[in-house]
Amino acid sequence: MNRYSQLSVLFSAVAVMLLSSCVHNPDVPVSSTEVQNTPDIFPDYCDVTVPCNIAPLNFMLSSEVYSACVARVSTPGGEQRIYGKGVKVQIPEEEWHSMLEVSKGKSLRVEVWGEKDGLWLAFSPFEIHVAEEPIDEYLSYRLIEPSYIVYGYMEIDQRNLTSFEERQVFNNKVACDSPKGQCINCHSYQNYKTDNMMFHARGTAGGTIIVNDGKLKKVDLKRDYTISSGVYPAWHPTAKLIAFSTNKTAQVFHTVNPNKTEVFDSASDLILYDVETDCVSVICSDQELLEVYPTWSPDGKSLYYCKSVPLPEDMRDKDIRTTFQKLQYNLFRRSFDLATRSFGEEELVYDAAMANKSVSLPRVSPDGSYILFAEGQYGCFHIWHHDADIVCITLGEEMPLRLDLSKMNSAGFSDSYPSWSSNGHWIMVASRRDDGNYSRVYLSHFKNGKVGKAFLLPQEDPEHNIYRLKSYNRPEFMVEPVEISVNEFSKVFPK
Amino acid sequence: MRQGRWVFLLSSIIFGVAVMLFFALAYPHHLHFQEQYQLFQFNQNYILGVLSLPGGVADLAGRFLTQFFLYAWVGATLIALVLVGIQYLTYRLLSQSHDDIFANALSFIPSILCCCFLCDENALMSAPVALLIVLGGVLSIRCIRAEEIRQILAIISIPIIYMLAGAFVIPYTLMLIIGEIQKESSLRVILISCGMLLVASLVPVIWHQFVHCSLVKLYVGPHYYRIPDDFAIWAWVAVGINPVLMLLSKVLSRWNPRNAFVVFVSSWGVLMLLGGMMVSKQQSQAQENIMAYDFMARNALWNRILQKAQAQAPRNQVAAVALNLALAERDMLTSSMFEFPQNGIAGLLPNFTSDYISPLVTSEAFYRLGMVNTAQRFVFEAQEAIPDFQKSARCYKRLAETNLINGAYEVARKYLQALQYTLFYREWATETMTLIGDDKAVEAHPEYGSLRKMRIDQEHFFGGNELHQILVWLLEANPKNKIAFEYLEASCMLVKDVEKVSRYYSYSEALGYKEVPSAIQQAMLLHWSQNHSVSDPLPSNVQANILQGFKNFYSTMQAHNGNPAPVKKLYGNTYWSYYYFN
Repeated sequence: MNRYSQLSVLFSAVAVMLLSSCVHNPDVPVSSTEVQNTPDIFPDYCDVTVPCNIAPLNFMLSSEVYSACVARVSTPGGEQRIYGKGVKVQIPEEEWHSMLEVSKGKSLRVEVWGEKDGLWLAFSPFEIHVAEEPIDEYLSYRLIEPSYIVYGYMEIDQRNLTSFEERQVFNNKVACDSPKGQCINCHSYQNYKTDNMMFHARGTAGGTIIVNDGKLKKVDLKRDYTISSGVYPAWHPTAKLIAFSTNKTAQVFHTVNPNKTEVFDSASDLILYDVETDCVSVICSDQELLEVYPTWSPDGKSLYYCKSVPLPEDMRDKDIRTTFQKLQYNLFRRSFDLATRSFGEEELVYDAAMANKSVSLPRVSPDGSYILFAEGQYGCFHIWHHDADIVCITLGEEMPLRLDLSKMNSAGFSDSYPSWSSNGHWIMVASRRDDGNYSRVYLSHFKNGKVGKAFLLPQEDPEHNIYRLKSYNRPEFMVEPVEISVNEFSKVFPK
Repeated sequence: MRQGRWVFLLSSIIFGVAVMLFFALAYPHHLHFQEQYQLFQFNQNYILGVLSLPGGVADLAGRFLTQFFLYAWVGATLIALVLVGIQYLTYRLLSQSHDDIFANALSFIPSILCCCFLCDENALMSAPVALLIVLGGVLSIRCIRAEEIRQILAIISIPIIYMLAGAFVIPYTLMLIIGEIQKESSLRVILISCGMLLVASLVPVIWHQFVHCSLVKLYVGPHYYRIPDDFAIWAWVAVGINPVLMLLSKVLSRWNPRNAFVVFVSSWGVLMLLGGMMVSKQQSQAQENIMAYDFMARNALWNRILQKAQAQAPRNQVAAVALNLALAERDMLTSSMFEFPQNGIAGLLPNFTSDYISPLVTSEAFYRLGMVNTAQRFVFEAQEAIPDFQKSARCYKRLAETNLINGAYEVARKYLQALQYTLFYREWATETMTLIGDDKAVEAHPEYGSLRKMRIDQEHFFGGNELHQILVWLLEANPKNKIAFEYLEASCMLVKDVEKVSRYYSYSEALGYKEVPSAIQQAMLLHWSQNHSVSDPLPSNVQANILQGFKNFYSTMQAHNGNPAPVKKLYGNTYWSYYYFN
């Protein structure tokens, strides 16, 4: 062998070594003991229905029980791939997407082996059903500590749902010199697009940051005739209008109850903000009752919102801190005439109080046929209520039908903040089901009124869901990313 | 100087030992304080997260060293080593010859300034480490003899040093420029120097495109000081003085004194003296005292708290809360609390303030009372208030404990898993992990089991103003909760509600007091005196000496027409004195 041949052999050997260290495709165990149940994987992706463009559903077995995990994924066409490193199964994005592509409308079969005390266990295989409907490519959420009053670092991030890319939209320190920073919240988009969007920045030099056809501005929504500046927003689907609630909010803390904290309003109304003219008009401002969480129907002709039910007479004069557990909200709507900017009479859509329940956070499906909301025993801040679940009812029928969401809701943990993907086939919720404290994003398939088993937002490292000690707050679908950089956003704040 | 090397070595050793002794003996609780506001994790995500910002290597190394501050002597030794390292590298930078006495004397100045910097409780170790990196960088570049290569590498090194050490890149560049000009002051060198300055000033701007951090922070930090928007003045002086020292040592090197040894020793001695004075001015024993009380409360060193308070009465809220907790833990609160200065309910169970210091010691009190949810809230909020957004090993540990007690096992598991990545909490976390999901094991645990039993059994809301009622509920849930009884009576006495002191004493029945605690007797007698005439029979549980004391107190007060000073002098350690004069 001459010198060049030796070098090329050496180079090839190094290349093979490097490649083999990057991609780890193990073999399935030669011998194993069969176990008559599906594996207890985290996250639980057994028999879920997933979008045909979702990022790899990486998972793991508990490292406290198992020392290794191997998974064989088979496509309907018989192609098989084997993964596993330690107790984790992490699938390369390209391979995963090619498997999804050939499995649309069908299922992937997953066989899992776990090594326990030196012996391999072969679990019953499970399936991952691949829906033909894709999911919106992006998702944004606020990452916050599930704190009480004090907040540290918080950020609004956007995540590509087809990959694991996560980028920051804004954070609460970049534009603020105060040690307390700002509280940034309530990011909202018009029709899932980002050229018209907004979020609030409270505190030092705060305001509402609005992107209007890609142009940035910071506005103050407080007027003499409103009880606060705008709080919970809802963009009109076609016009440059945003409905907001205005709220006077307070908190108390439980001594025993695992709900940890109670957030309640002592006053709340609805306003309409005209982005073009900077005008604020009052939609409704009942002196006795509380209106909150506006949301538009997809055609923009109706505004849905929650409104409190009058308290029993003997409780009306009492301090709200002692009565708020009796405070319940029903779902209402008003018609809206875009030409005259006028709202019609109030109409009861769902009487939750009749069933001794309370609703919050309504969202109408893109086809206008269904409405999702969170429902708990009382109040309107259900993300801290362990009994809170998501409810979906039909619209346009005299007696609304309540869909079966048992595969999506968790038992004994808060499920809140529901939303629809732009095609109406995916429902997203913020749920504290993993540990009762840190909320996570769960997704469910929706087709013809049938709701699939919820699955956790996949992460490149499945353990990420455990060690990220932040809550995913206000998850919102987007069909495109926010292109404005953090630094550009920060320029709207005075230096 | 013939024995220059050994004299220089000895001077460095003496300096290092002095630094170590100062931090270990006079300032140990500042080190504990530093350690408790970070959570150094040996895992990829944590390390990459720290390294992703400019100055990340210095920051990571600083945090790595700070975790050892849990043990004050180890921390003090590490600080001494870092400061001696800075001194040595500064000497290498300044020395013009083999035995340059002036360079050696001057080389102590940056270390002394760093010592002043570290006296501040918010000073982070990343700054001295960054200075080490900067000095190492300058010396490495200076080693290169080939002029052009050295100058090219100098320019290339600027963004690298920015990545490693952060904003100290500006003084780094100045040092490089001075080094070049000292070698040759041609037009070419001046142009290259301008180029270096341009690169140094542009590097933060370029980083600004990639990191979500304000440009100002990228120019001044970003992480030399716990409060992100404050300027780490002493650290900047310590690094910024190096270019000046380079010029000064060049000038002084021309002087060749006859008795070099005497000149060196006297100049070093003067510097040490001045340094000592500066450190003495910068250090705060008041802060050290507060941190000492916090440290002792954290580690349940109740007897040490009492000894310290007896030696010198505490004069601030954190110390008062810790002292009252120690008194309660030793069943002495309702008998001896007025032997120490009391400043109302704020010294017992203060309301929440959104800072990262005082809620921690208050949470210790809530925790030991059995108000587990409130303790959890205070700890969580204190952690959220840490100005540089780091997590705290102390807070994680307590959050794991409160969640274990509450049966929120999955949340506890998360904190324990994070602690398993640490050096000093790993063992505890692994041991505690065995309690997850095991109610029986938690109930059998000497601390968590009893706290689980002590919790209030009915749901209430706590906003801070319902303290008496909450303490009553605690006692009703667990009549043997002696600490809750002590706090209940103490809180009533502190708000001067003597009627409630008498009323709530009925809760003491299950607690096995042999006699009524003296402060309660004093309060009861006061209450009796307000509602009865002299001829009425006295309350049976008031002892004769207390009655006599009360009579004497009154007659002294009348004799001095209510003037507090002489009465306080005689009766300052009684509840009556607190009642009338606080």
